[in-house]
Amino acid sequence: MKKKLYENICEEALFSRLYEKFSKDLHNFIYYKYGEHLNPKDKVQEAFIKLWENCDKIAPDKAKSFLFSVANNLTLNVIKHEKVKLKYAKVSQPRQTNENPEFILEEAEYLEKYQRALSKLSEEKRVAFLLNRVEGKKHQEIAEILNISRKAVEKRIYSALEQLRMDIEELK
Amino acid sequence: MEKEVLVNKWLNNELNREELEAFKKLDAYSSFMKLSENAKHFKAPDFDSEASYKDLKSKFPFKRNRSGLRPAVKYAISIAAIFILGIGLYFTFFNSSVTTIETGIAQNQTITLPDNSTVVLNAKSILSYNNKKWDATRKVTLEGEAYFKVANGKTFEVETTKGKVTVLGTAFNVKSREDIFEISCYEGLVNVSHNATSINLPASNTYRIYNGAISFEEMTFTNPSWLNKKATFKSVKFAHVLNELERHYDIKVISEKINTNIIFTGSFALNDLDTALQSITLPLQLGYTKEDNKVILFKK
Repeated sequence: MKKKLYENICEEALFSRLYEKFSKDLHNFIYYKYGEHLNPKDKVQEAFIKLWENCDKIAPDKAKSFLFSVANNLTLNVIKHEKVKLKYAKVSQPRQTNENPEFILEEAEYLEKYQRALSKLSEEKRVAFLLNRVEGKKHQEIAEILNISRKAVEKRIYSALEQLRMDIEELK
Repeated sequence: MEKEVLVNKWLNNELNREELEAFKKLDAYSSFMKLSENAKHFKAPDFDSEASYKDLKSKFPFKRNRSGLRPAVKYAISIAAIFILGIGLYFTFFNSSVTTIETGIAQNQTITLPDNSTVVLNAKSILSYNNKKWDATRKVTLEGEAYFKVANGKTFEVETTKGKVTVLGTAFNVKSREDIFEISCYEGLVNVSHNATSINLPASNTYRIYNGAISFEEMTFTNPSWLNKKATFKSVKFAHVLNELERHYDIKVISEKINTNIIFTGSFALNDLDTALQSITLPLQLGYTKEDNKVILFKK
């Protein structure tokens, strides 16, 4: 009998564990990189379908990089090179009803500038920056998600931060 | 220490006390903090990996045998399908056919139609359709307000006392209450006929007949606000806002002391009466008192 070298992804138990482990990161990766209009949720499912279709050819430890590159390529296939516009949600905070309208307006203007500045960032910088600042991921974790060196992650986030600051404060 | 090193340590939560002091002295410190604090506004929508997996499994059966089913199995499946179809037809033709769904105050209900189109019925509304004729004509009648997500297929009709809305397969909202007839199209194309006129409404547009006056508007929302627990109004009589309030909260609004003909633009929450009352009374400089389930409005 052939010796089993590793668990097979074709086993549904392992497949569903991979789903649980990677689907959220995969979703956020596509969302922050390309925005919402490209249906990151569908891309996650499509990538996993591709994984299933190739389950006997891929070792479990290669599954993650397979998923990320497939999802990325699937998204690139449909991308129309539009500017990525991430929606900003009003994070609801209990606020006084008599808050100064000028303040509210300034805040809204700031967010709008922020949104525009984010859309001007390169995809690589935006995804690294938002995974760090919004999802609270450390440099090392982002390096693993994006499959690049930790040094490269540091560079991207730092330059994203500086570029956003310059852009919003119109320092250029 | 060099700025970039400090910032990188800050980004990775690795600053010690002295480094933190040095970081705070950077020119860009306040800008960085502001950027960091506001980043949360761009957070990706929650991703529920369990639900997504279930959904995927329902759409894509994970068969181990990917070489296809054996002919015998296929044969058995077709027989089973015919059988099921037969039962389906039996129920279509021999069962009583008109289904009516009615919602009460503050109730929402999601209905799945025979073709898997979904309807979300807002409070105090009635929807009915004929099961028996569904295959021939996809037609529902509506009193009140509902959001439709229509599956592709033949023409889908929504009949109201004020007019008719015809679509192929899209997402749209119909509101037919008192003197308002309002259709918002979120996807695809919707045809609205009212009296003798008929117009085509593209996505991201609202068509409104209010007091006999017709207006068009572009909108930026991707679904009606009431699905997000908020009722929104644009230039309507205050009386209409109060009626809507009564549909969502089990209260009687006493408004004799105020002028309900003033025009109101704004919104109120559907899940908290006090917040709702404040958001409609404050801008008009009104006050309110609550007694049991009566709310009395007065001028301040």
